[in-house]
Order: sequence, then C-alpha cells, then structure tokens
Amino acid sequence: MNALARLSARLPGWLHWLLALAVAATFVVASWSKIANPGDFALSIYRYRMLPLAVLHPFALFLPWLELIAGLALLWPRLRRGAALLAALMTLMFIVALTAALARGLDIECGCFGASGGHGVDLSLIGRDILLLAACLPLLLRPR
Amino acid sequence: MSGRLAAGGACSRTLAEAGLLVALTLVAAAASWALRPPRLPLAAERSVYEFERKQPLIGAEAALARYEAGSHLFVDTRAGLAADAPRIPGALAITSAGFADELAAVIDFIAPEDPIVLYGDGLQATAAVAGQLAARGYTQLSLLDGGLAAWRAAGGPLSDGGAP
Repeated sequence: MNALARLSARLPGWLHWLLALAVAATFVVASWSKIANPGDFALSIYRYRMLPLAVLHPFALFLPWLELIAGLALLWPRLRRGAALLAALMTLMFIVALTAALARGLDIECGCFGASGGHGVDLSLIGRDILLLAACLPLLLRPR
Repeated sequence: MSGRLAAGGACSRTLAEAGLLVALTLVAAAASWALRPPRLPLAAERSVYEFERKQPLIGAEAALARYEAGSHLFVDTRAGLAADAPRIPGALAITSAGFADELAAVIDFIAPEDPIVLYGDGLQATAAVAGQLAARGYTQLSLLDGGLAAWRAAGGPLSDGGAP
C-alpha cells in the first residue's frame, strides 16, 4: 500500500485531474437514468438475486444518488479522497455482484448505466470495473 | 512516529469526508423521493418481482413479429395518458391503479389463455400490471423490454402514424 501511495504521489498533477475527471464522468453518467427511473433500476438489481426485497427499493433510491454525489465530489480536491473511497467501495461491490451473477450463470443485463437495453453481464464488464477501481486508487492514496 | 500519526489523521479525515458525502446522499435521495412523483414505494411488492422471475422480457423486434402475425393481444399499461396519446394500434389500456375497473371494461376481449404482450414507459409499471393479470389466472404474458420507445425505434406502427 505504501508503494502505491508513493507511486500516487509521483503522478503529475494533470494526470491526477484526468483520472478524477474520468472516474467522475463515469459515475455521474451512470447515475442519471437510474435517478430518473428508480423502479427500473430496482428491477435490474433484483435480477442479481442478491438483495432481499425488504431493502431493494431503498437501495435502488440511494445508490444512484451516491454515484452522483461521489462523482461530483471527485472534482472538488477537498473532498476527493473521501469521494474516491466511496467510488472504490461501490466499484468493488459491482465487481462482487457481477462475479456472483456470472458464477451462478445468470443471463441478465448489468444495469450499470440504467435499466433496459444495457450490456449483458460478462467478463468484459468485470474487466472494465477493475480498470475503474484501478483509477480510483491513486485518487484515494495520493498524500494531501 | 509523526509519519504514522499523520497517516492516521489523513485516514480519519478521508473517512469523515466519505461520511459527509453519505449523509448528503441520504438527504438528496430522501428529498428526491419525497418531492418527485411518482414515488417508488419503499416496500417492494412481492408479486411484481416474483412474476418477473418467471416471465422473460421480449425485445421490440420479437414484439413486432407477434404484432404482425396477429398472434398476441397488446396491453398498454401507461397511467394518465391523454385520449389521443400514441399507442400500439388495437392495444387495450389497463393500468395498475385502475386495474379492476379497466380489466372489467375489456374482459370480453381478453381471456386468461390469450397470449399477451404488455408495454409501457417503464418496466416497473408494466410488471405491476402483469403481476395483477397473473394473479387473475392469465398465464401467457410477456413484457416489452424498453417499452414504447423501443417499439418506436424498431419501426412499430403507432395510432398517430408514428409522429414523435
């Protein structure tokens, strides 16, 4: 972890900003249609067969707003590390959900950027999320 | 020692920032839920989701093929529509809120064994009507994925001639 922190400290400022912008844009864009259609997003989450019905709707209402607010906060240096922590935790959760869905052979759409017409769950999505997680780490570990 | 203290301080500050953002999110999500109808009920309706588990969605191309073959009835589940709003020609209007009365009005045209395609603007409302129909013994139900927007994009006919 220390080596990663040292590496993050050595990243040029512009690259740091570029990473923050890319991660922020991903989360903000992903949040948009889910905020507009929480019912459809709830259906997407339900298809992963991971959440009990009792918490399904509150979770579907909460998560897109967390994506939006963490995404926007990444652009504000004072809050960037906290936002990067949340973004990394969300991405980790997505990776676990996608892996579990694949392992159980569920033929579902990911729901990553909204409910319908999305990308089917497959290995490329897990790869994409691992890249997203890798982009979050320098933002989280860079010394103040 | 001072390095460790500084690292500990940075760590707790990061956690505090994350906590602040989570608190902000709770306020924003609650405000959006309270102020922006239609509200998603906080408790999920079991029938909607259990129905969804059994009935696969169909894409607009498949729905169009069924429409052209004349093999299926179409049901429009959108609530609060104007009388001249575009629909799939021949579709029956049955919404979740007015379910019992609206089903009664068209009951001569829709039998439990009929194959039916349901569509709307969002899957939640469509799945809700499908769940209600399933509870009345309707068995051959499918949901149009992407709703009327997908139908329009696939070039499906509309009652207003397809004008946007």
